[in-house]
Amino acid sequence: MEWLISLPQFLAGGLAIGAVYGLIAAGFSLIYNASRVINFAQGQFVVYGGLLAVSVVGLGWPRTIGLPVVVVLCVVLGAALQAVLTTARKGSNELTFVMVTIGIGMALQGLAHQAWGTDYLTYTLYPDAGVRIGGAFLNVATLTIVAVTVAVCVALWAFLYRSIWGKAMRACAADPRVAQTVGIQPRRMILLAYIASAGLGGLAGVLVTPPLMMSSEYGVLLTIKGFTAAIVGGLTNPFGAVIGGVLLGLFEGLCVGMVSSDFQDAYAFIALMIVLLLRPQGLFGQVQMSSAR
Amino acid sequence: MNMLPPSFLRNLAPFVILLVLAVVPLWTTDDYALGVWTFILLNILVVLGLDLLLGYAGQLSLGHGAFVAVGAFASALLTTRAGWSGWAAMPVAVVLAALLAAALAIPTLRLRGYYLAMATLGFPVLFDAVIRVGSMWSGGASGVTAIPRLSIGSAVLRDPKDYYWLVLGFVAPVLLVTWWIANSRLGLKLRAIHADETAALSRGVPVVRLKVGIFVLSASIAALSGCLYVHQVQFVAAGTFGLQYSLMLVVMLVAGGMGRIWGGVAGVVLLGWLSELLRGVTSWQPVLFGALLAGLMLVSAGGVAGLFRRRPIFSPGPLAVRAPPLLLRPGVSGAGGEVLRVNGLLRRFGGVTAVSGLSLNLRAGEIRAIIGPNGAGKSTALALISGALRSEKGSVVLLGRECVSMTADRRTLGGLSRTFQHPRLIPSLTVFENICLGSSGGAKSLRDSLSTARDVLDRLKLRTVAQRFPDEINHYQRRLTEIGVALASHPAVLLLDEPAAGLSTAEIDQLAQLLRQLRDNGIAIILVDHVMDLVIPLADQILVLEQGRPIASGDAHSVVNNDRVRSAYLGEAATYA
Repeated sequence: MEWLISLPQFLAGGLAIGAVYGLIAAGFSLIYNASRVINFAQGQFVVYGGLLAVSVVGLGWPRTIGLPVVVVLCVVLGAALQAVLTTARKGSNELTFVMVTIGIGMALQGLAHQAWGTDYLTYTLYPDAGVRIGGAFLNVATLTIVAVTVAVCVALWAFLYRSIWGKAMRACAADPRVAQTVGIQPRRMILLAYIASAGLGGLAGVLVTPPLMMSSEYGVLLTIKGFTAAIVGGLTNPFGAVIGGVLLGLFEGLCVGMVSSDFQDAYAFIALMIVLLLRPQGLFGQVQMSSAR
Repeated sequence: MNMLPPSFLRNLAPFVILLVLAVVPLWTTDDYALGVWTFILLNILVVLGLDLLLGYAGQLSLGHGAFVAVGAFASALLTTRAGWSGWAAMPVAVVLAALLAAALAIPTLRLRGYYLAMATLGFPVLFDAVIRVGSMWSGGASGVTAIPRLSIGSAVLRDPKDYYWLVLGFVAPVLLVTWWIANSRLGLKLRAIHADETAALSRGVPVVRLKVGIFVLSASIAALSGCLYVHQVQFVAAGTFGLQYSLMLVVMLVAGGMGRIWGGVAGVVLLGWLSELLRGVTSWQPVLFGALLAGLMLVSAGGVAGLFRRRPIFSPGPLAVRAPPLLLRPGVSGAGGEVLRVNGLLRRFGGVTAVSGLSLNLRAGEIRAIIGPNGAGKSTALALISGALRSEKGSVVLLGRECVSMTADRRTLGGLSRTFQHPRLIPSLTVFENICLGSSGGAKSLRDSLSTARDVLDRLKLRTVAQRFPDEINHYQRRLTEIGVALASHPAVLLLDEPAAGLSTAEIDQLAQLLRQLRDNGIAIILVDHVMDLVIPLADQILVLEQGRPIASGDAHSVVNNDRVRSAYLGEAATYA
């Protein structure tokens, strides 16, 4: 029965990283809804957010200025990625765009490797304190990350459902052609989606690097995990994707605690296969079957 | 040269490639260069399989390196730990990779999208963890060493030159098989899946089965390459075939040209030597090759092979002397026999009932029109009958066979073909190849399907545009081709979704004439259209839908004068007019 006592702590361990997966997943969802493209460079935004934060703090910038600047830099990176994608030749299909994001992801990872090496880097942000809830100890880092994720969800909801831009974006996701007839420019919406998801990714990197560290080689793993989270929650639903991220984080925490930490990075893949097998539309999404049912 | 048929030149090409690869060791004496060439051959193996998957079928794998690793480790462990011979280990390793590939493919390829790409990105993570955790037997990061070389009889293949020949001996059959697949009807089907899965299904292509099959085949070839690798290098460790290797395979394929077998080979050779030249800046290679991949995809997805125009796989050949035979499906008794019985179909989307209570019986040689105002559920009705959508209730009996639970491809093979409202021809195939795609279903011989396609081409008078691509012909020709593709599968029942949309009056007259011919040949037609000039004179019976429900049925005269129909079309006021 020993495992039952440590259960809350395993779950708490997965909470912070789960929230981060959720932020990445929401980014996948936004871009997918706007353009039906899976952005395979998504994890790189997180890596750049984290490592740029390490550098900025290392340069001695105050965190209150430096960290927002890092998020802005990630947004610029997202906008640049989208700008590159718009140069594709006319008539390019989704596979083309997906493969461009793969190439750019590969190049970004290579650049990060050049700039920061492959070591795990970190910086300090959170005070060493925490609270005990139930049987679990939650430190300030976890609490902050969860709080910020909730705040991001509220902001995202307000944006999508209350602002004119957000409504335009949802209209465009539902049907770009019809959206165009009422004066919405799908291309701008796609740009907006890239900006938002790069910002979410960068923010996730900034938040998660202090407690868990970051390496230039982590981008692909974060991409897989963020995507899995998006599938768990439902790729078409950004809020579902956030919940999917938290669930994936908890699942990972549980597996690491109860099975083995040797497979830490493989649990997401196992979860992905199970979800695709049992409920490919995720908890709150839609999916297209090949046999068109 | 003009004497030679294009197919002869095409079929010569793989032998030319093999010949070039065979003379390489003759002018390379340096063992290092020969080693590089051996690696190039090993990569050619993998990329040939990857091309079928990505270039032809359009399915992305970002973890093909993991299947190379499965082959390498399986062979390494069976030979070192269990004392097997390399030759005995090879088939076991390949079968293991095939099984793993099937386990990955079945959940992911049922779906449309990039699930396979993500799963193949994740699979190596699991594989790597297993290798590291099992370092007791796998050696983990320090690897398996002293792997025995392969031997033939009592001769151990020590000389790099001998090993090169051996690997070439494996490349040859794989090249010929992939070449054959690419240039066969299977190649057409793969290209159709790549371009448009919905259209492919309605042409009778078993989409999921082919996607899974091609993935398993290409993973098996990758594992074979891994087996051959490991007995040459005699060492393998966790991470030998990591993410970067998998991505390099994709870059090689894209650089050479996806969807062209020789392009993949050229890409491997080019990038193989390019990365040799860039040895001094190894750490910059991901940046360079990532940028190369992105750049190539943005500028032209054709790579090196894209500089050369693809020659059509099939050409119609000389004009038929005899008149094209009747298109009627063998086994369908002439006019009058019942071919289709639809009963009580139902489909709802959320709270909206798109179609309910749809029933109709159709005899051979009958034209049944389905009309109704916009949003009445006509297209949904067609989708339910053709199997593009699943009906929640009811039955569809085609030629005496219940097919309500069959997918669209199986209904097409069973004798029920459809056309789409907007022609969905495969852009990468010529008009003739598109029609061949329609006639390639079932177990017909190549000869039969080509001759059927030729007959359809002549009957529809499309011969002048046979070798053009869909974007090079006019709208009427595209419509006709769309009908031709459906006819090529020898349908007993033909479903036409707004065939007259966007046609001129003269073209509509020609279309009407064609449909009469088809009817006189005993084909039953379900015609959905708004163009009354086409529908009224042609239809034996008209079924009127409103809000998903049949509201009237009968001959043209009675339906046009039906009060409910008039009010459905013209509003309530019309009843009093």
